[in-house]
Amino acid sequence: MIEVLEPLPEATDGELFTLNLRSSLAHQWFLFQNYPERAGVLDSLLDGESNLAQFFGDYTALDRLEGLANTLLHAHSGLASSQLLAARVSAARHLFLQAKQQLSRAEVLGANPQEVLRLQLSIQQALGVDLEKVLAQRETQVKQNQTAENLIPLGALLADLGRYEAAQEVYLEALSSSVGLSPLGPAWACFQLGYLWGELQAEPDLEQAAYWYEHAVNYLPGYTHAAVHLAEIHLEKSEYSDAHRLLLSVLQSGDPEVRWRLSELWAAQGDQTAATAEIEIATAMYEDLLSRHELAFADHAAEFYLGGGLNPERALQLSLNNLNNRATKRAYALAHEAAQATGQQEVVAKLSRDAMAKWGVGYD
Amino acid sequence: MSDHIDGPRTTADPTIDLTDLFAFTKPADPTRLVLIADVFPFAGETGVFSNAANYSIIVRRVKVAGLGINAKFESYGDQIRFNFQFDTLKPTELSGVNPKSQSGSCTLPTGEVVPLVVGDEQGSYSKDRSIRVFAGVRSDPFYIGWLLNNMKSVPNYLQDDNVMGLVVELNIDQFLPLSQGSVFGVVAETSPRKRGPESLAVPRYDWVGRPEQTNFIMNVVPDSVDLRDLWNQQTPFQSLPPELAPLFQKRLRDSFELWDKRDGEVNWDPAALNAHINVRLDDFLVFDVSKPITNDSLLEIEKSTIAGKPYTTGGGRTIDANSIDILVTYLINRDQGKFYQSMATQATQPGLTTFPYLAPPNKKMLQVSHQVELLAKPAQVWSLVGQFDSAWSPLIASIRVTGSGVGQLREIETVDGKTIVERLESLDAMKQTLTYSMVSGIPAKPYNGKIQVVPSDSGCLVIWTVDYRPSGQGELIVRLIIQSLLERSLKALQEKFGQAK
Repeated sequence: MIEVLEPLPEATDGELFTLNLRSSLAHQWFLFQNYPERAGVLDSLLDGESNLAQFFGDYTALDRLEGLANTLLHAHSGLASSQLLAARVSAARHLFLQAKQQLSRAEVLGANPQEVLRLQLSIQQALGVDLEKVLAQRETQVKQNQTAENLIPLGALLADLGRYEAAQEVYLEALSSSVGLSPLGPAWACFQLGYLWGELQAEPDLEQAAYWYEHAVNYLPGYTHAAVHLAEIHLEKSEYSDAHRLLLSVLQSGDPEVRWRLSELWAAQGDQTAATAEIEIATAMYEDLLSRHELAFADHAAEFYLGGGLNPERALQLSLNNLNNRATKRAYALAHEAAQATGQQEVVAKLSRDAMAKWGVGYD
Repeated sequence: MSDHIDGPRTTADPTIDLTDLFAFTKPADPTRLVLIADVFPFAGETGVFSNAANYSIIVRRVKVAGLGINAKFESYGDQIRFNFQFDTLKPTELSGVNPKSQSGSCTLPTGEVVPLVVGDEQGSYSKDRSIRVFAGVRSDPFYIGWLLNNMKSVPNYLQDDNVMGLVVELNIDQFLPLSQGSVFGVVAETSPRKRGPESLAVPRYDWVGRPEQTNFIMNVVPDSVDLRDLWNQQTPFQSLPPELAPLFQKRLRDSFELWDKRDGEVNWDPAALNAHINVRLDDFLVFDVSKPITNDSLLEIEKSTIAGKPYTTGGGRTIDANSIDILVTYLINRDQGKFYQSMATQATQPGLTTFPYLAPPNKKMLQVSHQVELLAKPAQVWSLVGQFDSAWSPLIASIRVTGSGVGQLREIETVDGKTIVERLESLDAMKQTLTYSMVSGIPAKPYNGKIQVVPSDSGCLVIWTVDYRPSGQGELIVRLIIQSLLERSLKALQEKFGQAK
């Protein structure tokens, strides 16, 4: 039975919201260029561009943020705000060591302790470090301020720890405690619920996952990850026209996974030529992203090369880079899978030993 | 800032964040009243309204119920509500930058629903043409020149910003008959469009009466809880709930006392301070349509009433009123000392004298700039690129000039068969600088180019800059057109004169 929340919170239509987001963001860039001292501009730029990357798969946002961070570090490296922004950008690009160094400098320079803690927790969570401590701090944050921005990372952490029921409760709480009319919070919570049911549970419930992905896309039609995951479910059920409609809706996003899934769609319908063409495009897009932000896309690209990309050697290389950057359970599993795909038994054995030592998990 | 960014609920979706409220009689016809509410700070150039919110301007009759230390304004009678609602985007027949447009409506106090198209400067009329309404992106009329922490004066902090404006112009006699009184209060509010027991929504997202009730007044007490979101959910024209009234009273007292101390003197005696608190707790903008509403009349009705004397103006708030400096002066010295004039003396654009009264949106200019360093003397290069009729770019197939001197036109036939017409704006041989504007041929307007030759160690630099705003095509396409033009042309100069290492 599908766990539902009715009614879902009201929100501004996703297309209207997106238009406003882009309009306001363009203005914030104008302000940064012309009135760089304006309070709030840097935060608005960071939030706006991060939203473009997270929700709309617009990874050129990372290029712009990298440029912004470099500009600030060049001109005002002695300001806490510059170091903090640079740390947030580094973390978004999965340059965690660099992010930690910048965050330390920001702290010394007097950055807001709450903002420092927020980013510290995100980095620790991404690295899979001290997760129980992170959990306690995230729960404290939620008690102090029950917002989607606090609740959803808590849910994600609970999911990382395998506490799926608790994670679901927290996501539902995030959904029902949504304030205002922004569709971002509700869409994000719905996506996380879909991901929980579709990707994380030992026995996925695709019906439940589709229900939540559908809501995420309804809130925000350009929500690329949600559209792609929902398309995958339709594809699995041979509902090709639905999958096609969804993938086309986010084709311009810049996320190569859209092309990868489109290739699977063509292949499932017997059009191997079109499928190959899409794989070639996806490969070029992944390599382009890797050339600019390798660590941010190493795991996704590794998954691609293990799948439709048909290049296990490249997958292994990327997954090991990813593992070297953050030795999470998932990173071990991915590298192990890649090593197996290449037939490099020594690497397989070493990864198995290391994963058992660090996480107590074994691979069959 | 007046009411900009005053709580988490409104910043999550800024289209429900009310920024300002204005009420004034039409400059050329005092029998008509203009009411304006603005939302969406930093709206950019292509903002739209939420389809899930009500945007309301509400007028109610008001009477002066007490003077001096008993100063009070009491609202009474029916609420006269103008309620705007907006749709999702729909395809439009208008070609151009936005392939879709937003429609909406304004429901009048009579129940008539007046349809409107967002951004249509002509606005829409009620059936009997007594009411005219507008909604769309406009230049932010608010201006502020104080940094609150240290009262440092700075230029307008909202320069070049846009907001979404909602405008209602009406016949006073028809909707607010003077026979029943001439004093009114007005508020604007944003609230959920869908309501009821099945809805999770709060009753209201934001509301605004007098300027700065939330930011400059409620949010300036150090180390205090942010009450703005709680305030925004209270019901205008109603008494505060008994359990909350003391909380807001204390916050106003703390705030007013801090303001009073800013000049090192005490200008507010306890009784006057109490009266001010009581007036402010009833937060609506007071205006009297029988008296002149001018740029200086903001808060005059409240001030005079607290001072225990009859007011002399129509109060209200005009678009160009120096709201912040008027307010700050009153808060600091109760108008008994200097006027606190900041460096901000007007908004980016002043208000218009005619409908829709809010100035058009500010547009940003984009820029493409390229430069090359050449192994040639500046004069040698200038003798080529400084000639307005010289076809030195390989993209030019032919060039024909009409007229002479500044103002002359050149008609360029490009190698790919397009025609571009450009006007010479200036030619400075001493500074080796030529500026021109594009009249037609490239999808941008305005489009201003500058070519400059500057001496360098190894020869000279040619710097070519184009400031433009895309028109009729997307940003990326226009940028590519201009980039290609500059790059290929300057590359030809490199080939001709040699490139510096």
